[in-house]
Amino acid sequence: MSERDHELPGRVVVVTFAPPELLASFEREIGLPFPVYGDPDRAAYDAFGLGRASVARVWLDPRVWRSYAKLLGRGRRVHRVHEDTLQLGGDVVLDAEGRVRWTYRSRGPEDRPSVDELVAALGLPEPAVG
Amino acid sequence: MSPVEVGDLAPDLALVDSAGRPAPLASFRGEATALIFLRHLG
Repeated sequence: MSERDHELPGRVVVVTFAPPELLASFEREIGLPFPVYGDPDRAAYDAFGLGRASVARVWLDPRVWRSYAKLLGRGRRVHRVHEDTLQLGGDVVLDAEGRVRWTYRSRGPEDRPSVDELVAALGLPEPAVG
Repeated sequence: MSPVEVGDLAPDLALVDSAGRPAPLASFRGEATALIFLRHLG
C-alpha cells in the first residue's frame, strides 16, 4: 500500500494489542509508512467486535498453514510467539465525522480484506494500472 | 456489549501512541481513517 499512500483520501493507522513499549521498535523494524498505536487492554478490539479464534482454527486449519508458507516463501522469518495467538484482527474505516463507514472482522488468522477493498472503503477510486 | 456497527459513532475510547500518550479515536475526526487491527506482533 505504501506506493499508493500519496493517493489515499484518508489516513491509515495500524493498531496492535502489544504492550506500548514495543510499538517504537515495531515501527522501526517493519518500516510501515503508517503510524502504529497500541490498544493493550483491547478495548477497541472488543468495541469493534474483533473476536478470538479457536485453537484449531489458528493452528490446525490448512488455510493458515498455506498463508504461513507464502510468507516464508517471501523471506519472512519464524519467531517464537509470546502474545495471544487467538486474538483476531480486522479493519474499520471511520468517516470524517467519526462514524463507522465499513468494517471487516477477520474469521481466521489469514482472513483479511484485500488492499483494494480497504482503499475502496476509504473512498478512493481504483488506482490506474501501469 | 454489542459491537459497534456501520453508521454508529466510534466508541469514546483511546489508543496509545509509541510514547504512551493517549490517542482518542475522536482525534481522528476530520479525515476518513482506516484502522488496521493486527494480530500478535510476536
